[in-house]
Amino acid sequence: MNAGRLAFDSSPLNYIARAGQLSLLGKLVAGNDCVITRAVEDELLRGASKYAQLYQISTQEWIRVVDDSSMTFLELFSEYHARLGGGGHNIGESATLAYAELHGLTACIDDRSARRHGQERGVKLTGTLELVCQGIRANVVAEAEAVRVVDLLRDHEAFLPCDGSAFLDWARSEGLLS
Amino acid sequence: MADEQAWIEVGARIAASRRARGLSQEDLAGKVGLERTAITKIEVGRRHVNSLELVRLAEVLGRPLQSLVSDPPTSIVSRRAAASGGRDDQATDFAIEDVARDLQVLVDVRALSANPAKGSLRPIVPGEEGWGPEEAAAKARSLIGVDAKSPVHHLASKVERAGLFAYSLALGNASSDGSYAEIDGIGVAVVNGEIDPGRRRLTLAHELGHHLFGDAYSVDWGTDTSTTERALDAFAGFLLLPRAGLDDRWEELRADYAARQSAIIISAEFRVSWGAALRHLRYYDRITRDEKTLLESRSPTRADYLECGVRIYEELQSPYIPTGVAAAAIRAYRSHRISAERVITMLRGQVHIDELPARDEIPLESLRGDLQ
Repeated sequence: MNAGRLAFDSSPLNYIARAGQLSLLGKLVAGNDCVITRAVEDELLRGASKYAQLYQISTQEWIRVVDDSSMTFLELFSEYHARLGGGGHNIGESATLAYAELHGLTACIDDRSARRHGQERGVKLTGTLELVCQGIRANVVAEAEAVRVVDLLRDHEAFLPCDGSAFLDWARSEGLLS
Repeated sequence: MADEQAWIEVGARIAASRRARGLSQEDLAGKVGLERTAITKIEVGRRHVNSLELVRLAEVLGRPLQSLVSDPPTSIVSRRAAASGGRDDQATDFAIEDVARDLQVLVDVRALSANPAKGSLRPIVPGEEGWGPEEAAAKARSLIGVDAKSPVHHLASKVERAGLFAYSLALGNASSDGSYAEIDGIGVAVVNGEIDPGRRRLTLAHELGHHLFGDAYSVDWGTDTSTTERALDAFAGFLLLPRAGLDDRWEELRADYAARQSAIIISAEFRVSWGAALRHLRYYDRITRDEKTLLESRSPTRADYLECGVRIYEELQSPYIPTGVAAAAIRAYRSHRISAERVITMLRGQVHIDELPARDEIPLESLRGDLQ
């Protein structure tokens, strides 16, 4: 992938970490500036009390935590929260989209509602499967390995549009491998 | 600095929400896990809050995040004072503001749209006490699909036919009876669920008046809001207790029952308070002033109603979420326009997250657009 700036939501990191694929993710996004917001860090830390693998995310050198407490950010964040949030839930998605919109990053999000709203507001988006496809194109990961990873992610409750066996056909038909 | 002013406003909104919930700075500090001095500084805009603190504050204050950082989407058109005299209008204002935000989201995702019935009635002209409101009420009955005589049951469902969405929420004894607001041509009313059932319906009928007369009333009536409110109270009474219906029913009942029993049955059938039933019976000249005074002195008990073979059916019990809003919220969720958590907050916990329907499957093809 070309050098860019990526803001990760908690769910892609959550199931990638639980599937033990953080080092692969590191390779997939090599050369990018990767960030998570404080809200996402908070969600991951809370999730870590259930899934200890999530602690490994904070030890990845290629990810850094960003904190924006400007009024503009809070306004954007609360606008996203009005569609996506529910009290203290789904904070990460709203914060990720707000940060990506404000600072011109690409948001890495898999959730449908969040993607839909981000897209409406002109936020550049990517998701777990797109990153894997880019990795195949850049010869960072082999097709067979990619299929295995997609299945692993699904086993860890990732909401992905297809399983491993359908993944390559899907990706080809989407033109994501050429 | 514009930002400095914005932080002062955030602080003021937090302070107002805290007071409306009856919390001290100390209480709030304890619940959100901050020092009391931090709350003091936040409330005057001298300490900024980060996203996580904002979330905690909104949760504890029971308000949407946006309500703490930005102005409400709409101005509140009406607020009906509590008869008790005690007023805590802040709670009422916040309640209508927060439901208005929910509706704004549903309008933005095109799950809800305005109904042409709104603003369709000629305003009641002041000075026409009696005739104006009564005529308007007759027209309103036909707009909400009720004939000239029948009691209006399930008022909240009926007013939706005219594009008014009615909530009943527990706002406390000291709050206003109800309020009305408009969002992009859609009407929304919040009725205080803690007042008597009869008064809840009367309040909603009053808010229907605000909805149907549109903006015209403020032009016609200028700033004399008390005249407006009085005319709408009259309208509400006529809507629930129409002359033709009461006349006929009174005749029938009086053939078999004494005046008191007849009035009890009328108040139960028309689902209005004892006082409202007597007021209208007097107005239509069915009882004398002395009879009214006598009947008023002894309000019927639940046993009195049962003895007459009728039951009190309580409409608008809190929390009541308008059916049309609930349907729109679930549709918006199903088509991935709002999150599951957001629907649950919009439905005020009336539906559990596990009860939500399966979402529309997205054909892989349709993903193409947002993957590239």
